[in-house]
Amino acid sequence: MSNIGTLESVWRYPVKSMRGEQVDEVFVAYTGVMGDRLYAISSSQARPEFPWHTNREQEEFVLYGASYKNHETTLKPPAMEAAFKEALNPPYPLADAFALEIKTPAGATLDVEDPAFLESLRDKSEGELRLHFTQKNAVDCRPLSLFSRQTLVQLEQETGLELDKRRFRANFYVNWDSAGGFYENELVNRRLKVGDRLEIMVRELDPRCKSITIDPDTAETQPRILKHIARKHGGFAGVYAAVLTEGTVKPGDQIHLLD
Amino acid sequence: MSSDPGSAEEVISFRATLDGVEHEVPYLPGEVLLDCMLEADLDPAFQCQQGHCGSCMVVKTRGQVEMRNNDVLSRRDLDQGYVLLCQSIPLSNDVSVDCDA
Repeated sequence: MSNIGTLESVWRYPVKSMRGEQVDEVFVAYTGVMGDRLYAISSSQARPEFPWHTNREQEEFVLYGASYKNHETTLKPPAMEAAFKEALNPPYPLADAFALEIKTPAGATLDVEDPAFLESLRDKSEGELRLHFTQKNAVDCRPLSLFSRQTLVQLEQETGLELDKRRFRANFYVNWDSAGGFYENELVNRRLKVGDRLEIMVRELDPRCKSITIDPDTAETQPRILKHIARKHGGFAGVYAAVLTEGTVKPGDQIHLLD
Repeated sequence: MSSDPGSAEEVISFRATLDGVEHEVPYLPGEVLLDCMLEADLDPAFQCQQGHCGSCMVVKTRGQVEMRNNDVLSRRDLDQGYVLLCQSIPLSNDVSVDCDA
């Protein structure tokens, strides 16, 4: 078991495609980071296999903030330690624990279920929008996404662009001890231990889309970064992972290569 | 030159600017712009080829095209002239696209 890096920061996105939040110590379930993408907006105009209204159709969606009203209860399941002792899967609290507040770009604070929230999105959407809630995490492909500081630096050097890491909307931003950019690509099908308990397996490279062209602070688009990744890196940047053993993680945790 | 989408104008070629160089690309009847560029040994950005990812979004600076599918470009993108190379069929013989935009 060798130490290969450090967990720099942990992020979750309470509403799919909206602004994320950095969290301290948080539980990571088989379904992903607790509280990650529990809400999503669907559109009647979208295809059934990907029904989501995203920042691709409405760039300003990234400017909407979201925060759980009871932040602490959304970080760890209430009986987590007791469940771990018996090798049980810690049950999540009831849906009420994940009550959510939305901060619109115009500065209004709304309950996520307030009709005014969806109404504020409708002028930019041609489809009928609906709010979804799931404790299964509405991720695109895999429960976790991971992106390294070294990959970010390499992309900045290659493109001459200053890139905010938040464009890449990862759950785990990591810092490799000695490896360079895109090292995470070499970890596909390898098992990693993060912190004391969490074990993950890197499953595949992360295919990028228009979402990374959107500036997280202004919603302006810069297609050049996506085109560069498509032409020079096969369209991939960062990796997806599956969770093998649940656990909690926090910034500063060591990342070990298990095999 | 007519750019009426309803006309049956024969499309011979289109222009594509890539890495600062403008190319005249022969149009292959029935094919999308991306495939014509690849056939001409050009290497524009692309990935999914289904209209989902946006890697091949380019600005149409002239002419008329029709997209077979668009699951990624926003209303704002369309207003700014963006089209998807992998989904675009030229409808006029004066199409120009800027792949560097």
